[in-house]
Amino acid sequence: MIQEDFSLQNSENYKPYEQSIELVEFLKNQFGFPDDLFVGKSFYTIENSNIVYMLNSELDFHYKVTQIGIPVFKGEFPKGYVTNNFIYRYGKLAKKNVIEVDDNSIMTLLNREGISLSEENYGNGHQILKSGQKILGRGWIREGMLYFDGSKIWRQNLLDN
Amino acid sequence: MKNQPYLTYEEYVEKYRGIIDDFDNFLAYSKKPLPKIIWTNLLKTNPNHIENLLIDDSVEYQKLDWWNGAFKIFSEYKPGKTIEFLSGQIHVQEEVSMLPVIALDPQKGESILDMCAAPGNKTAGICLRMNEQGFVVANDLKSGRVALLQNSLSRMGFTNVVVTQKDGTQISDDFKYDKILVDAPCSAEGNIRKSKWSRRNDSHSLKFQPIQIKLLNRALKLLKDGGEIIYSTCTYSPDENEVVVSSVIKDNVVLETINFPDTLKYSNGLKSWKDIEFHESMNKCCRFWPHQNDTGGFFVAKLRKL
Repeated sequence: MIQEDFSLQNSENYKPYEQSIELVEFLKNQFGFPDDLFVGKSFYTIENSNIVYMLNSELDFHYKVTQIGIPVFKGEFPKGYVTNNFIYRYGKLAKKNVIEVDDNSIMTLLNREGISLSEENYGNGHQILKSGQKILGRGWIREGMLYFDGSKIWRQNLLDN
Repeated sequence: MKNQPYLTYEEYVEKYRGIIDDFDNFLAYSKKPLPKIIWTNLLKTNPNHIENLLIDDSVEYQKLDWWNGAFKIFSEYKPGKTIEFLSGQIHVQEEVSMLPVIALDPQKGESILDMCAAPGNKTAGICLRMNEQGFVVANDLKSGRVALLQNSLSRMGFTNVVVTQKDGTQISDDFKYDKILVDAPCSAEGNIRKSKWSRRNDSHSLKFQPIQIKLLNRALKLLKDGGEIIYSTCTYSPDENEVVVSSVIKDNVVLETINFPDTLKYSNGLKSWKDIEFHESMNKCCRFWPHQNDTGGFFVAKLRKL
């Protein structure tokens, strides 16, 4: 479709994200983020990228860009995952699916091992891991097991520390 | 030029002896390790939290009195692997490279272009000081540097910045900015305290002058009437500073005084260099020598388009 072809829209290589309403609903439902977090925000995708970005205004800038605001979601929604960038920025505002982990659990998770959880307390899917006031990053529950979803580099850096 | 001998740092900076107030002290400081700055990302946490971490880790530090939440670190400390750094609660930067942001004085609601933005330290400072209210375009030329820029801004989590990859001299003037930072590529003489001295001859600075002049001229085209440009380099050379700034001064482009904090020492821009006489307003430029504030070297000028 011509309208889908970025190259024909001036020199822009971005467009508003078509599923932004669904994405915001998902973020609010999954993590209990407050409504006002998303007021005045716009969501975009960039050609040849599967990342959804959030900007605090409408983008009225007709050039090729490589990044727009903060990366929020990576992958084909609803598959894919919330970015750690978004979790580190807004994780403290989350009211749901936030899991407190102790020091022993952190080491287990950083070593790519899972931790068994009581399924009554947590649903499947995306979680936010924290330790005290520290937001550690994105977690994931699968079949009652909690995993840390950070990248290899992140895990190694945290282990080294 | 090709036949000129390569010079040591001491040989190279000898030409600046006449414009440095205390040359021996300057040389002594040039050899000292450079203190780093950690500043708090106020969008994510507060300075007390970061200060408590420094205390817990027995880090020797001093608060910067001109940047809320910034700490000058004197002891061996590697914050780059801490969760606070990885999660963007803190940023690590060299003190003098924060000065262009002070000079730019970003305000809420402004549109700002950071023309040569990678690795993103100054862009991050700009976004923070605008409290994300306004629009920032962070541009750089090479993909590797743009990747660094993107990583840095994503880590800090700013929502008011767009990254572009473009030759700064070719940026389209369809969009005009309130303020532009031209932190130009340069010979980096002021980085001696953090980088090994690279082989260079006496005319090394002249290699950078053409692109610096082109970038500054382009920035003037991208600027709104009444807008401001901050031109900065991390080098001492007048050939890359006063000579470059002089090349764009005209009836409708003037130099303005920069209101740096009183606690910072600096030298005013030169009246002349070699056989070149500069415009009298060139004394509004500011050159920071390493021994003046225990930092690296830097040059900052503020221009207004009338």
